[in-house]
Amino acid sequence: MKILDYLEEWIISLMLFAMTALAFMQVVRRYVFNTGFSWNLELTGVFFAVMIFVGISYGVRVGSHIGVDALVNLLSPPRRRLVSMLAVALCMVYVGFILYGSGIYVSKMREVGVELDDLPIERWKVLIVMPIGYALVGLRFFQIFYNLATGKTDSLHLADEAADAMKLKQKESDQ
Amino acid sequence: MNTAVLFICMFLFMAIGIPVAISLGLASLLTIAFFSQDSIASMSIKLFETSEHYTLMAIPFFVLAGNLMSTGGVAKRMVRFAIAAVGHLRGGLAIASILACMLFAAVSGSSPATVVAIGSIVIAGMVKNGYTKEFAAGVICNAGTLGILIPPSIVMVVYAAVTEVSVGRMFMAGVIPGIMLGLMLMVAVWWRAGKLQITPPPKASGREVFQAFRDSMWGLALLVIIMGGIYGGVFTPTEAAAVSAVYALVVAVWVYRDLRIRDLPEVFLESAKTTVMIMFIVANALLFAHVLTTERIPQAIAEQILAVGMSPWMFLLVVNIILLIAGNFMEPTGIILILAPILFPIAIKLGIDPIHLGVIMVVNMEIGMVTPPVGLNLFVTSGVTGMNLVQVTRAALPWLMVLLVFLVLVTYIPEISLALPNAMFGAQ
Repeated sequence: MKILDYLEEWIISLMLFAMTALAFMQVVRRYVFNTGFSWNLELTGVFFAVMIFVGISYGVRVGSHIGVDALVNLLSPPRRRLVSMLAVALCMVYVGFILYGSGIYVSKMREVGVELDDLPIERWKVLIVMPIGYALVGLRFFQIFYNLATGKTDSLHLADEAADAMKLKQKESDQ
Repeated sequence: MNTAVLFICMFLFMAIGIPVAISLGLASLLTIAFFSQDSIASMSIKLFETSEHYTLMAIPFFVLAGNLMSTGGVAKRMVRFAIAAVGHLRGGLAIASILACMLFAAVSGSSPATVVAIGSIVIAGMVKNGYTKEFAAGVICNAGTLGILIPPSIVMVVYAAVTEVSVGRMFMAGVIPGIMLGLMLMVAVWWRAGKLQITPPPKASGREVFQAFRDSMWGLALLVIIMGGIYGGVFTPTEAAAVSAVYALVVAVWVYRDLRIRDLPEVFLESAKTTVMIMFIVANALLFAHVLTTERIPQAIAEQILAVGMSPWMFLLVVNIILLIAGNFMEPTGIILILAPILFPIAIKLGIDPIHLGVIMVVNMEIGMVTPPVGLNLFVTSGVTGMNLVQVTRAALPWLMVLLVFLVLVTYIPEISLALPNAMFGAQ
């Protein structure tokens, strides 16, 4: 699990770095050397996609996705836990929809074998990052659901309080 | 019927604590699954297409540039310059804090980030000089909203992306309103500071002001690069964003030496996290907007409004009310993505300039950030000051009135927003 955590962090940081470098180089090439590569923009988009779809599950883990917890916090802890379990179950339904939909799309693209516009890469090889990313998201939600069900936590830990909660958790698991 | 399901599902999901992005996405997918001929496969791939949107690619770069600038001592230098320049006036420290927020807004595209960067420096200083904590927190919480009005602005990039107006025009349109709101807040501070009986710091010499300016110049040059580059046609807004990220990195690491190379992975991770959070909402909100469009909701509402014979000023009044209410419950990018596709076609039919509409929306979002329950600036101000949410909300309230007056001015005097972009790029 730890390896996966590190991997996620490194991938999204590196993708942002690569995007910035590519986009900046494109400007330099065009204005200083008066040339440019048509594949540059497309590759930037690919990095962007990888960052987004790998990053969603990271966001679920560290609780950075904004939500409204004002209402849920009014409930008593046992009820909050039940409502949160329902919420997480619905999140998993969402993940299921996207996994199903993107899975169909990717396999279709694989049959057709279309390549990207400027890069000699088959499109499905890029698109597949979406079902992979969502599978990771599903995994994270499953963890949260398990923690809720076993009473280790009583909420989804969204946005702000999440940061502290995560740090505490990190310390716990380190010990 | 379908529309009702769509909206009811969304609100229900949000109420039980499902993240905003997933609430939008799931409500859309359920509506499609039960009422529409569209396949789930083609819908889920819509999410992917968000990452191929050229304008939206500016977002990670602006986030990165902003983070590099705020982890560095840029904010500190801007505060020093602001105090040297206007600190000697009545209520000087508070006025300087507003000026510092304006300057920082010019390197950052986010309002909460502006509150954190400037607030964490000036609030303690103001309290030490005799201002009440409420006064300091209220001023910063409201002045921080300038982050999304003064370019660069992530909310404006999102608006430009969904309505397909030019990002450059949108940025230019934010300049005069941004300066104006800053000045209005300063006047309000000057007026209220009369009762406080605080001795302002002594007037700085011209030399000191100049030195402080020269010291903060590297940071301010970022805005010159962005606006100059876009205006001069040197690069597209997305390229300008990438250049400003690299520039911010060079300034933070080699010029100011506030960041070490080994701090960079942390900054990149933090920026990637913020970007993903925004883009996840954007992607799902675009899906939501797509369902709205296929259900012909915007057209239906437009026809209704035109049939009633609503005049432009009435329409704008309604727009403001809707946005103010929505701003209380949702986060800015989500609101823009859902409501812009609905409001845009109506505005066009009524002869309202889309850029003007964009600025109105952004100002409404600013107000939404300082009103509970979902007010990002309130959250971060409470984090910075240690006051609780109720106290911060009460502290922010008097200054919120200034924002409301400003909203009326911006809504009914389109020239405030349009004069600069029209002068620079020609009228549309």
